[in-house]
Amino acid sequence: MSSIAEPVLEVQGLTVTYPGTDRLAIERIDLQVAKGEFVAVVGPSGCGKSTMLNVLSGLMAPTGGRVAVDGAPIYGSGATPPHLGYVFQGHRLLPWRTVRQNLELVLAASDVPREKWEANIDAILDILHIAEFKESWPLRLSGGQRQRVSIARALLVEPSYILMDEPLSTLDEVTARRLRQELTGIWARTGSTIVFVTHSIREAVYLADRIVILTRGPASVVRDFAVPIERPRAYEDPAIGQVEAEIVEQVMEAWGLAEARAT
Amino acid sequence: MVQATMDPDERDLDPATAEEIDARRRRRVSAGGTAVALAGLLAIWIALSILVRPWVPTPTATVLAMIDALGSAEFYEDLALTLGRVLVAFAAATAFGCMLGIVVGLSRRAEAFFQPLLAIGLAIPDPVYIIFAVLALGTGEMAGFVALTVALVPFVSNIVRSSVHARDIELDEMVKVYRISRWEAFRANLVPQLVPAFLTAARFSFALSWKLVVVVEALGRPDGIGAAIFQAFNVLRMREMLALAILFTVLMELLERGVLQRVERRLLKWRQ
Repeated sequence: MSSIAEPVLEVQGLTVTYPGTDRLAIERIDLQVAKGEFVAVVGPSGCGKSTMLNVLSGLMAPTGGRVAVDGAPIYGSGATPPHLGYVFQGHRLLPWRTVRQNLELVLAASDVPREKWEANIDAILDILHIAEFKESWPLRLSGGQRQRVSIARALLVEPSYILMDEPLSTLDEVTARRLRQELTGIWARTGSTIVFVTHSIREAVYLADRIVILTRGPASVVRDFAVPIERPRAYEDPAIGQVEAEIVEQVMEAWGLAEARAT
Repeated sequence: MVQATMDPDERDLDPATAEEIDARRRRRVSAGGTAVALAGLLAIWIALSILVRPWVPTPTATVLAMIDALGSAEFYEDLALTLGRVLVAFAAATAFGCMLGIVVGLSRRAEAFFQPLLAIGLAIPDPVYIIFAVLALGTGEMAGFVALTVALVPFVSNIVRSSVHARDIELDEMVKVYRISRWEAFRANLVPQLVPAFLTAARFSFALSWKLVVVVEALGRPDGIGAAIFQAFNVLRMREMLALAILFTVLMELLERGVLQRVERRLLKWRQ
């Protein structure tokens, strides 16, 4: 992995053990994410991806190592809580608050001045094609619309970086494809820094600048490489399929599955 | 679930129409059930009024006594006093019980301290509170208020505590990630999650408080519906006793349905 001059997110020697045990969930992960970069993290189920996101989001202190955002550590003495957006696997909207009220709740905790709230909410809902649902209850929305609101919430707070934890995995394929496409558009427009966790290698190749592959648990980085495809990309582009196949080869090898496949 | 009760032709209807048809069907079943239950109760009452004469008055005599009561100023004075006591006890027990339930649900230390006390409180029969309150505080208003509050708080608190434990931890994480202040997280995240528990607690507290107020009045007060029922019993005027009991029960049911159910619909409108 090449060193980035001024990374937004910097992880050094990150180590986490499961609470109350010596069992490692994460073993010495090093990761740097530059401003405006879209990084996908791919790993098998149960490898520690969610634990890693919990640490990167400030929810769980690591056992060892350093996590810094814009140069400032987020754990330890003198730590600064990270200023981030998070798109969870489930939408995690408050169902008793309308879409607007959900967005205002996070804006109230952000540095965005109150006089900008309405214009910012309208603009982001417009970008995500859900402007007409501004006053709707989340339970009245479809899964895709709720996840759009969740993405809007993450973008609105003008975060240092956005974590996305398999945000499209619970959606049907057609909705997921539309959202993937929109996500690349939004990323290009806003210049956000995104760490996107996914199971799908094709999704990672389509969306990301860089892909980080984790080992089977305990999680550590086995591959970290740039996606060699120009943007804009098409999901069905044969080049994506080709890179996907190459990555699958490497992943199978890294996860110790190459022999099993050969037999 | 809805489809299982539908005719084959209804399966082609749009979901909103199908739901409306199903709701109408459920309302019809519910009204039918109520009518059968009331008819059964009336039949038992008539049978008892024949078999246990003169201690069980006939429905006709009771209705006449109800009409008499509704025409007397005394009834309304007693009703106002009892209603005031019910509402004060209900409000105090619900408010205090809900607050205690939240504290006990959120803090392990508070739970370790209060939970054994609440468990004991739940096990003590309600009349014991009333008797001890009357012995300690006399027969004034305070005795009834204290007895009712102490009797109701463990129930309310227990309902709310369980709901605090069962809250959605994923929403707590979301609130933490977005650095939402503790007060705002409490107001916007925790309290709305507890609304169904508050409503259950309020309904329970209301139902129990009006029953206990009547007992408190019968045991230790010279006025109120409870005292009037007890006085009627002392002079063996069973018609009056039953008439007052029925009128008060009907009024409390109407209050429960009219007020609490409306509050519930309003607070939980996001579910509809």
